[in-house]
Amino acid sequence: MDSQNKDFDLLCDDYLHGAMSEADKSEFEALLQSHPEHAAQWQEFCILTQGVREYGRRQMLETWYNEAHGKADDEKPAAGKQPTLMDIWKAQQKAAAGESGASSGKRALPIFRYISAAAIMVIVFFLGWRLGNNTDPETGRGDDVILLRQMELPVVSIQTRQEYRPDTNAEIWLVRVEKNLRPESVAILSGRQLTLVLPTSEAPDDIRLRRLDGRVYIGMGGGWYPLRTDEQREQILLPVEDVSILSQLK
Amino acid sequence: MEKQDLSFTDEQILEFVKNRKMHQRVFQWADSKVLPGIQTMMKHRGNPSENDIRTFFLTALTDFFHILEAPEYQLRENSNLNGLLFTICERMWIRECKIRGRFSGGDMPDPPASSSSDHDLIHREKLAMVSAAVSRLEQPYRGVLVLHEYGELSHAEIALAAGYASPDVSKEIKSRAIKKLREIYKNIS
Repeated sequence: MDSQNKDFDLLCDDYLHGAMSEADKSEFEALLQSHPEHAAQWQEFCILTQGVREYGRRQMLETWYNEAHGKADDEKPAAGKQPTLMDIWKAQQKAAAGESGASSGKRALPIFRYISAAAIMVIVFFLGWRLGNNTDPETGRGDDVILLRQMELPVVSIQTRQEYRPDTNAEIWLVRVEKNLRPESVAILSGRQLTLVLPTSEAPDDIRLRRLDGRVYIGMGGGWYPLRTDEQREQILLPVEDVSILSQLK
Repeated sequence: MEKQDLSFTDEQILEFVKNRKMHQRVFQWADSKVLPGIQTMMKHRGNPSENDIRTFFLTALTDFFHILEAPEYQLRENSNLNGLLFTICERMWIRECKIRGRFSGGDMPDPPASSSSDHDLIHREKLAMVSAAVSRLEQPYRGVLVLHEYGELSHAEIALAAGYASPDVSKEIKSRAIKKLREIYKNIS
């Protein structure tokens, strides 16, 4: 471990995240014992990283609460469609595909202006989606494919793909079903492309869509789940419990 | 698909709290099982706005996470995590009501003394200040920091998502972010 030349924060980061060999860990711990100033900096590093997690969790809590209970009037965004993180991301991917070899290291990224708990979730799911594909259907970028294959986190894999054309209108829904190692059932709606991320053990093969009183419901297995089509982002699916709605859906 | 059952045992809740990927479960449990009682309690003791309920519930939930995440925390035979979250919120709300002067001192009993030590309080205060400092960090520093520390994404994943040439770029940005954060933190503390 080159503790003299390497940034001490980087050493702290490697130690905290288990990116050190056993020998380097022992050397780092010895360094803390022998240098009080390093020990103090390590303590401060721990406080800073805990505070970052605190910030992330609070963002996540607020996003979740707002989603479950609605925002206060003074917190609602101005009318008009806001681009979602996924929109911004896809636009960036398309732009990047048109710029061969343009991979400058430190571009200013509008994506980070929107960083929030929801953004974190979308990024995680988006990465999972990318990792589950061998090709990108939108850009077909080969360079990314190589990078994806090198990564070791196959969170999601595509199981089936089907088109759904409701009898009552001409809408075409592309429903993509992905398996999910997490317990949550998640729907991501982008335009009329719907991605369902379902727990590994529960991915059904009888997905139905119904429109009732202006709302869209997804039927899977024995249950029905309302889909918020006004939200172009991931949403947790919660089952319909209202018997009168259920009777009309069946 | 089975309907989600939110009747978790205390052991399960503790497990969910300690696993960031399961935090959503804790949120759902708290919302379904504890928030209704908290709303009733707050309305009984005062006249809370919707924003009061939101603020106090979320702050109590944050404290709840702190307590359960402490390495030394252990469930006991008489542990009641539903009651713990409720009590944290109740204590905060009673104190707030007294501050707002909505009640005469005789009507409103003092909240039970907190068992938190001075050390805990100082530690929490520090975390709150760091959290405030994070919100002042400009991008992309804040994004990379939060994604790496809270989102638990690797530098390779962040680089892929953000379009950086290599994971080292993300690592370097995080290193700079820590330095900037330290500076902001020192200025506000």
